[in-house]
Amino acid sequence: MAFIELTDVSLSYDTKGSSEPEIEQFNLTVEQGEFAVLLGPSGCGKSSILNLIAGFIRPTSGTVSVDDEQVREPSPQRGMVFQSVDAPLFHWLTTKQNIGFGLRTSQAEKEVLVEKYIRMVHLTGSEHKYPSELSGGMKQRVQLARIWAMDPAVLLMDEPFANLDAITKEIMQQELQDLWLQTKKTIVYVTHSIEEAVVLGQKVLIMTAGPRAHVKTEARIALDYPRDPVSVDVIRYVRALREDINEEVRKVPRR
Amino acid sequence: MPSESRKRVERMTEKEERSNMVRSQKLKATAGLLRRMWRNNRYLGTIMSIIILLGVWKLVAMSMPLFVPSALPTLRSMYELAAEGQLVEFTLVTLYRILVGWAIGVALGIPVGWLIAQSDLFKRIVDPYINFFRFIPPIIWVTVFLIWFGYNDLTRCALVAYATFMICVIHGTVGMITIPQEKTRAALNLGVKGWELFRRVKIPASLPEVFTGMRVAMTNSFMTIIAVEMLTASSGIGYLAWTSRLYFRLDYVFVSIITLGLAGLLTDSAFRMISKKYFRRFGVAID
Repeated sequence: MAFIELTDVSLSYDTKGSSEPEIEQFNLTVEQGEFAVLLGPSGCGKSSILNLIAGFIRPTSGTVSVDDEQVREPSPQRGMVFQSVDAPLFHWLTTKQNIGFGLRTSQAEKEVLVEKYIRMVHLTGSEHKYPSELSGGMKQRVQLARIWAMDPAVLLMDEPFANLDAITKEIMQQELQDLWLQTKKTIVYVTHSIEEAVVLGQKVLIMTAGPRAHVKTEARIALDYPRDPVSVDVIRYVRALREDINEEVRKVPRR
Repeated sequence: MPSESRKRVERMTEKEERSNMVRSQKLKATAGLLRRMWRNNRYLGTIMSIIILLGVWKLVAMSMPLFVPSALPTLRSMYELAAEGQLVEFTLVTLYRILVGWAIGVALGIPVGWLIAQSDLFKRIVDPYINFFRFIPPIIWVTVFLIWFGYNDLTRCALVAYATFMICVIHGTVGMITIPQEKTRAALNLGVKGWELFRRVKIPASLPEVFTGMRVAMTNSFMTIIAVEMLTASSGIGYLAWTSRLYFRLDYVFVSIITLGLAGLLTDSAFRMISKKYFRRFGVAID
């Protein structure tokens, strides 16, 4: 059995069932230590898939399981990094307090752990700053460190760098690759950027436009890490995937 | 035209131009000075508005002297009342009633508001009463409270507390239900749930709205206490304003209004200062 398994998952926010389900017959498997990227047009339900795996919402039908256990509620084992830069942080706490928020160890151990993760995401010097004093990129680093410190089995990342400027975004992508290479955590990453998907993912799953969204194709990116976003190989993959995704984007009704 | 007179005309225009230039330079300098003063002195606006107010007051008082006492005699009456010690005493008594009643109302109202947001059971049981009593002003309770608590400050404070309570309940609830979903989800994701979530995330995250509620309730307390003191008290600013009418001392009524306004201004400044100093990191932004 795969590490993460979604089997015949349907999700409908409308409980009366009068409108079409957002997700239907969704199947997904991710192996332990794999970096999987969900790619799809805006509003296709990518974030809902992450919310299902995180346990924030329950499927209307079908099963979601992680490590052979059915997902019933949120757990530190399935850590989420949100797209929103400000909302997920506790703005009345410093960087250090935010990162140590969920740790249940002794004070001394906590100090050591928090220090370690602050160093890991390059936030040294900003330990005692409040989120309002940090830049967007730094806030996302706090989120990343905070969830990484819980040592989750799975990292769920919902377009975490979408609200950052292009330069910061590229740096963060490089750093994420390094972190993943060091720790080999299972990551499910959601994005609507083909470049980002190709740079980060071992496996890219292209979703159809909603409603009734499901996985349309699955592509393996057979390139070595760390990947350079402007290398010829990456661009070749981007071109290959573009047709697939554009077809789905065209289906999204223009509002 | 003979050249002599043309020259004279030219000379004159030249002179005029020069004096025009000097005048415009002077004007510019004055404007610059005024602009600098406006920029550098934060009280200039207040001073100007006071001068304008006194001017308008004077004009109105001159046009209908029977209905509006003029500014200077009013200020003199204010000084008289202050010198006798009555004004200070009444102000302190009124402020005391406001603060005690307000504090009780906040201490009860905010937690009830939070509980409504937190527990569906509590909400369903309590909400109908909140929405019923919300429309009943404190004044209508005066007789009832007088019988229950007696002719004393307990009654007066209780009425202020009642008015404060209703406002605080609503702001407490709104503060909690408007917390972004990502914040609570992030906490759940870190293994923090139930009462721990309530204590460590929901309460601090709701504080900006709570402070807004406290401030609105403070304004409301000032209004409530005056009405209460007019009806049932033998001290306080409301009492002063109400008894003065018997002797047609309109100037004393104006003194009451000015004193109350100043007391409100001071209380609000103190409240703002404390919020800014100790609660800024919670996102409490008052201004």
